[in-house]
Amino acid sequence: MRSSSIVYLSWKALRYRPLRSLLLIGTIALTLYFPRALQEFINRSEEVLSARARSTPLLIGPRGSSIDLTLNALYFTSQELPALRYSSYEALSQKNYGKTIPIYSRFLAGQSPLVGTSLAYFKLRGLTVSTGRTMTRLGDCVIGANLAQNENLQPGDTITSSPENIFDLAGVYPLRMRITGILAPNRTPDDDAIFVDLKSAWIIEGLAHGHEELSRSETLELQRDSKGEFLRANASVIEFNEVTDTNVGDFHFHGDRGNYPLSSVILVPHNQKQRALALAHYGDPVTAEQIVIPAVAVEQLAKTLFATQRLAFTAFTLLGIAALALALMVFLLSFRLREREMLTYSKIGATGRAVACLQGVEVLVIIAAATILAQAGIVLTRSAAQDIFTRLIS
Amino acid sequence: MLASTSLISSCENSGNQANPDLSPTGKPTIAAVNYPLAYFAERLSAEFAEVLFDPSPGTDPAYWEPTDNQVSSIQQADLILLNGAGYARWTSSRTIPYEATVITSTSFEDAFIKLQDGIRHTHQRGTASHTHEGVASTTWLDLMQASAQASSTAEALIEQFPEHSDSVSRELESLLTDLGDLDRQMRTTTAALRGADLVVSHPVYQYWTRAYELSAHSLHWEPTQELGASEMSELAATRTEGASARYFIWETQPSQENLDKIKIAGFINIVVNPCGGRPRNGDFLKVMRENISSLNKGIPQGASTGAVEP
Repeated sequence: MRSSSIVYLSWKALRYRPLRSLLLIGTIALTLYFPRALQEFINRSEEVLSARARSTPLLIGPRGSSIDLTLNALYFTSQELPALRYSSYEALSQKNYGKTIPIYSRFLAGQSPLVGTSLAYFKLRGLTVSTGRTMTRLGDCVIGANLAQNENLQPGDTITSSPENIFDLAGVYPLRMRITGILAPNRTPDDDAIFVDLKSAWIIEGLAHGHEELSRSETLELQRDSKGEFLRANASVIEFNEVTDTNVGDFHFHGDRGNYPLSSVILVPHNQKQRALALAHYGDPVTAEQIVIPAVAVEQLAKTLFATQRLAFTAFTLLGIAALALALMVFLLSFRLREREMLTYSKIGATGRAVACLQGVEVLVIIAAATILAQAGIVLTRSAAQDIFTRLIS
Repeated sequence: MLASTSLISSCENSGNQANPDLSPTGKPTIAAVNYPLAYFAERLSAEFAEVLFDPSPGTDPAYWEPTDNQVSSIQQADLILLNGAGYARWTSSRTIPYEATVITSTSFEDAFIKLQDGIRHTHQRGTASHTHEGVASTTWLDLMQASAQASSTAEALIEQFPEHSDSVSRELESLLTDLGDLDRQMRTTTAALRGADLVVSHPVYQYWTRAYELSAHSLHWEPTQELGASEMSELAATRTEGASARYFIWETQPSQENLDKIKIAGFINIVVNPCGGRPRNGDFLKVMRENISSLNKGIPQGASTGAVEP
């Protein structure tokens, strides 16, 4: 029997039972795909984690879980640790340990993290404004590329911060922010975030506000407390929920700014000496703050991921063996059912070797198709792993 | 001293990390919030940097409101010199890079003069009451404080541009000499004003009066505003019993009509220009010398009640 005839007859046999063939291809493809895809996903995730961590030399924050602190600063996850006082940031800034970039990542606008920071953050992350310009005053924001695309937002549009608790009727007003620019995409959590001046984040916090002049007698009530008489603005005094060119001068801060909150401070030492001094200073358990090397914290996280990977890999391998055994059984049963067909081939002159080849080619075609399908899935997983991981962790 | 304190600023050891954002001439840019700081920066960094000071002559930088484009230009500066003491309120409502800002008055912030002219109030029941109080901000009129601000400016320049430390140090020495001379002249000149009946047209002379041991009553008048009966009554109410001479200090040259009215009221007109904004002619030192000259012309007439043309 000629080779082309063997291939032709095998192809016809596979097409004659398409459901069986597709099930076998799918089962084998998934068996091959899952362990490799998991490995690719974990490897790519580790690369993504490490790259962002490496671009964040040091992190200063309140004492507590270093992983929580790192994930909040790098991926804008919810703030689990208590706030860092602004005075700590000031003290750090005066210590000459390098460039200091404040981060206040606590609030949301819809599902998007709202990050209060300084302009130096954009330089650190290599972020550029692709459309519009950067923020110039209170209430301005620049947004990530994904957010702009998904929500169809442009410079000049507005976006409103979300109240932390919808039942807190007496809480601070949501702030309607002016979008001044859209950042160029960089395939990191920055693409989904909203960036504001630190002071704007404090307005959302309620530490600063703007309102009309307290000069009209009908807006004020005379009250008395232990310190003497004071005036209480009544409900007719309107607090501004949006900063405009007209009212920007009416916004003011209250209280001691040293007590204002931050999530963390990114420290970028300019040389090894500054780095060593910072590590030594904050390594002292007496200090109220901790210093974290994000790359080390991420390594710890990666170890956890690897442990999970090993467990999943073992499970997938066992499942794969079972699936392959099942596929083998399907093949064997199939050949048993086709015994009469094979006997006919023998009677019309096919040798035993040709009949074996016929069955072998069928198996090979199915395995080849399954392998190609699995490999395609792995390639797709590899390319999408960064985005998937970023979304999962954020 | 790249330092930051109350104005939400920070310091950065920029060290050798000079910002690559250069002016069109290829020189680094230094932004300043008022003319005295711009002048100090111009003197100290003339060889290697350009100074960005946007408010035009005649504009009071303390109340200047920059446009978005102007803020964007300031954001590109390698160094942003702030006066501190709440001066230039726009700096707390605009986005400026914390790491590039320097508050030049940090070294004497304990000596700020507090103003208590706000009303204590609260906005919501149960929330703490507060007062919008501030501090006097025309710090440089005490010329020793001006020297401290010049020194802070020099320190920040050296930290940011260490390769120019020699020229900055050299220029600082010269600038401090000039300011020291001015301070001595001002002290000598104003000695005769101690105990005199002094009225100032605007509440911007707090540090000047403290530094030179003067006592003044502040009004809220503009040099060109029309002085009616109520203003003249307000002026009359400032008179101290037994004072031998009365002087009226203007911020800038007032209208002739106002000069005459003040003269008729028995005051000697003197102009002491705080020079917060860029002068139309000359520079900071020239304006301060003109102030001393105006004082020198006016004070001798204190013995008589005749007025002097400023």
